[in-house]
Amino acid sequence: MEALFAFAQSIGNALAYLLPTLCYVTGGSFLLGSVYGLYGRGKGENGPVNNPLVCFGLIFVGASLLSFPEFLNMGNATLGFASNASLGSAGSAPMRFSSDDIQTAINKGPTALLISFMHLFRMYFACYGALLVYWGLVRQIGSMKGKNNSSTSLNLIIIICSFILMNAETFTTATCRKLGLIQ
Amino acid sequence: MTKILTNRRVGMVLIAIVLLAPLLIGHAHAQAADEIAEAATNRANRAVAYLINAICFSGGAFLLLSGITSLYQKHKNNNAGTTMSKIGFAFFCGTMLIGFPFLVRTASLSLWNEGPTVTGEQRMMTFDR
Repeated sequence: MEALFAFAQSIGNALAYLLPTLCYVTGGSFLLGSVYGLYGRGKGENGPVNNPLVCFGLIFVGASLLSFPEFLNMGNATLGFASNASLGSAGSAPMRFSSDDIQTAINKGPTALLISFMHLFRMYFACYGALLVYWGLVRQIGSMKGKNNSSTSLNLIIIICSFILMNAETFTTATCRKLGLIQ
Repeated sequence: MTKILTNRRVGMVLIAIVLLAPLLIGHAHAQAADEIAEAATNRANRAVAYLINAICFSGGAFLLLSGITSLYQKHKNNNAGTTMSKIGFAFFCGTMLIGFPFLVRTASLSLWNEGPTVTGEQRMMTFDR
């Protein structure tokens, strides 16, 4: 069982390393793409990339990806979650796990066990949710450029639900409390 | 219908695995996913930084040169290909590419009231409550 937690922790940390790099690569290329689209527009090209809305969207999303923690904090604050994302130096905060937490939760019953599982996997959920937020933004740009056929509302729902996924622990606790399963 | 898993192909893959095994074992041995991600993202960050630098420098210089030569061409022999809009946008976009950090900082400051935090240095995203 502990191997599974170590594995989830490794995956969560790997995603935490991957996210800033993905944001850097995609944000930089989106800003370059907006410049390229504007130049093509000046030359009289009339493709989907040269649409002024797409150029603006590329600048908006590119700047958001280059300030991704601020974007995540904005979304979390809007949805009322208290979590705070930031960029630490490499190897700064590995997730810690102690089997005592799960042992005490087992004695308290299934709901407490669920909550403690959510607590153990919180780093994984947070990183995976942030990755899906990134994915929703990129998907919306692809849709604006005509590369995929997803609607804007679908992408917005992806982004909003990913923010909820980022805060799975808070969300689960609140839901269990609402249902009267825990005090 | 063509068969994908023919004996010949399976044999080739097996031989390739046997031949590559000494190479792969050194990398895959006793490494966690996060360590691999750390090393990989470090290299990817540097590679992309060099790439963006090259694109901005050569692309921006090319666009500025193109703007000047197009302006010269337009004055010498005015024809339909070189419009003032192309020349203007060549200067504009060339300047934006040469001063790419300026564009990044302006866009980031305008939208989020903060300079860009994803700067290409290797960072790790952390979440606290």
